[in-house]
Amino acid sequence: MIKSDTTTGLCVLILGLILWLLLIPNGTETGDAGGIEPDTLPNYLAWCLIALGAVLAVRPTDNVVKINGELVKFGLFFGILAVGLWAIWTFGFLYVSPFLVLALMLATGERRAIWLAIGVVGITSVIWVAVVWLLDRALPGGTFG
Amino acid sequence: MNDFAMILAGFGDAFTLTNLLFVAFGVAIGQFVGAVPGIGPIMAMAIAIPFTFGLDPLPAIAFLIGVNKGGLVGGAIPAVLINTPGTPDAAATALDGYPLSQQGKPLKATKMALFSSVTGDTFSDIVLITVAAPLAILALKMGPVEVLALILFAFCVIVGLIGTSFIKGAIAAVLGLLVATVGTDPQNSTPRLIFGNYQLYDGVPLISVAIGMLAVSQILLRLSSNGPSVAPAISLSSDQDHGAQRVSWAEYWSCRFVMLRGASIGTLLGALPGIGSTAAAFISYAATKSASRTPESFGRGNIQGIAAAESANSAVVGANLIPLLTLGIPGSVGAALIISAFMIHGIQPGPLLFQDQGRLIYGLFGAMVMANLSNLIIGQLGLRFWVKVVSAPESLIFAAALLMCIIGVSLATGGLFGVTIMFAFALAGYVMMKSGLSVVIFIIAFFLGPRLEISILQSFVLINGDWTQIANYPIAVLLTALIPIFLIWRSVRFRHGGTHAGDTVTGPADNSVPQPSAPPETSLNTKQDL
Repeated sequence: MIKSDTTTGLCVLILGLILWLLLIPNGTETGDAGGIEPDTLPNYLAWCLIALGAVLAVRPTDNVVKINGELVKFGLFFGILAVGLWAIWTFGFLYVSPFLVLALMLATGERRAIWLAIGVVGITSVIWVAVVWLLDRALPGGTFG
Repeated sequence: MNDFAMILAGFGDAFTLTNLLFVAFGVAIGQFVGAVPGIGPIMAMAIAIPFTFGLDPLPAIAFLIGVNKGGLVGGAIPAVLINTPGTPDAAATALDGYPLSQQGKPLKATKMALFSSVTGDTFSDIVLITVAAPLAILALKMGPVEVLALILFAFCVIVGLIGTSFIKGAIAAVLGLLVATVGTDPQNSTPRLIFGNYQLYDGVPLISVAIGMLAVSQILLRLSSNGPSVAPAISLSSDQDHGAQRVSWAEYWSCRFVMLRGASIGTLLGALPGIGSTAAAFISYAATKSASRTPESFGRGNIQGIAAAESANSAVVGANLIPLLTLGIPGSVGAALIISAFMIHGIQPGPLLFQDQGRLIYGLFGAMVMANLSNLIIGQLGLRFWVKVVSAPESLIFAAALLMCIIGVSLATGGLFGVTIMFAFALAGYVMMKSGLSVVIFIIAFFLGPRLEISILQSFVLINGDWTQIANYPIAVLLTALIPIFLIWRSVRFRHGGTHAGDTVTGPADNSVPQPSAPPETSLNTKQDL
């Protein structure tokens, strides 16, 4: 367990600096309509982040972050979703959906064949019926889909 | 502002068969998702918004209102039966609901929750219908300078009352405002912070941010923080005698003052931005307990405890729409989602709404009343059914919810780019929650960001760049003066009380998705703080 606010404050401070010195100058153009420039509000907000981050780092609350298996599990589920998104982008939703459901249910700990079957067939079918049949819209298709 | 014929026409629109079916469907969905620990009405609303695109505005928004209202009733079911609030609002309900259930009266406890929820909800809807239009007339007298001051004051209140630290709340608000600046600069129409991604010209998609932070990150948090969760969520035995299954009229009537107090507290707190329904439930519970002649019976299955909590938390929903409809300022995430539904359907919330879309608004009011009636009927008929339905394993429910998020955002944003953004914000939401930064404040700031910037630009022009000219706008001066007063009050309360009521009781709500094991200990601590 670590007291996290100091780290959070420093991260916010660094984010503010990156925004102010790097991202905002390179991501905004100069306006010609007079009044307030396009980078004015983002710059003010970046300065606020720098100040607030510094205050939080110096005066942290009692918030603690438990570093344990949760992060690994989160990474596992997020990884499954990221790979699923890539696969949908490549092959199309209809082909990927059953495998994505199966992977998510297995990762959750589900091992009962009947529930796995209901998930794989049922969820995909319900989505197809709702989107294609009821809403008359197309499911996301992939490059090869 | 609105003639009587238009009001009648609006209510007439609400009572068409199509609208009634959508309201009932929304309530049914809401009760279902509210009863499943880990889903909740906010997540369901976020997921449902893209699927309402093809609908007319009234049935679409009425459906979402139905989901929100039904969710509050549904959240009480697992709170009463297994001491696991389906929504954070129901944590106070569990204090007496679960002990009553343990005494062999789970149906009585659940029905009392249902009746008091509908009573509180109806009370706040009546207040909303009565005061919203006059308030909107007052709001119309406000110009850009006043609106700017009002938004700044609202930010101050929201940051001060949500979360455990003002600094962290301010960081979340600034982050939300920063994300809102991505897109096109409103004055010069030049691209800003998009770095070549032309899909971001119109800004970061609202729906991707909302679903990513409110649904996907919460599901991932739930899945990763629990062990394998394949067991049914709740169960209900059928061997109860008749008296234990019903709430008599005498029992209901004995709670009338409790429900009136709870509904008043919920309505008052709901009308203020930033104070959630969880706060209302605990404050009402604490007030009822302290006013009771038998305070020792609370926490042991007293139906007045259930009535106090449920009437208050449900009253917040209607009252939340007061600042939304009159000022265009969402006071909660639920209201923020409803505002996004308004905008998706081409309607700009705010004081002009009553002038431009009066018929729609009164139709919405009619739909809200119908949603309360649907809540009562569906809740009465469907209790045992919901228990069976939500017995499906979490592995199936969460997998389905994640797939619905993907497809919903894909439909709403017209492609998978929006889904990528959604995942990015899911990750950001997870990091923020773990760091103790409020996702709720972030989203409200993101919603209000464009309006804040436009108000700044307009005010700048009006006062010729001289900010001392603000002295010519007395309402703006008053609102600006309230900011330091609020900050001082907030810091004094924080210093003297250790934690502020809003901190403690809105803590769980801040996560929008119920913490499954929102423990009674937490609730007790909260009461002590109050």
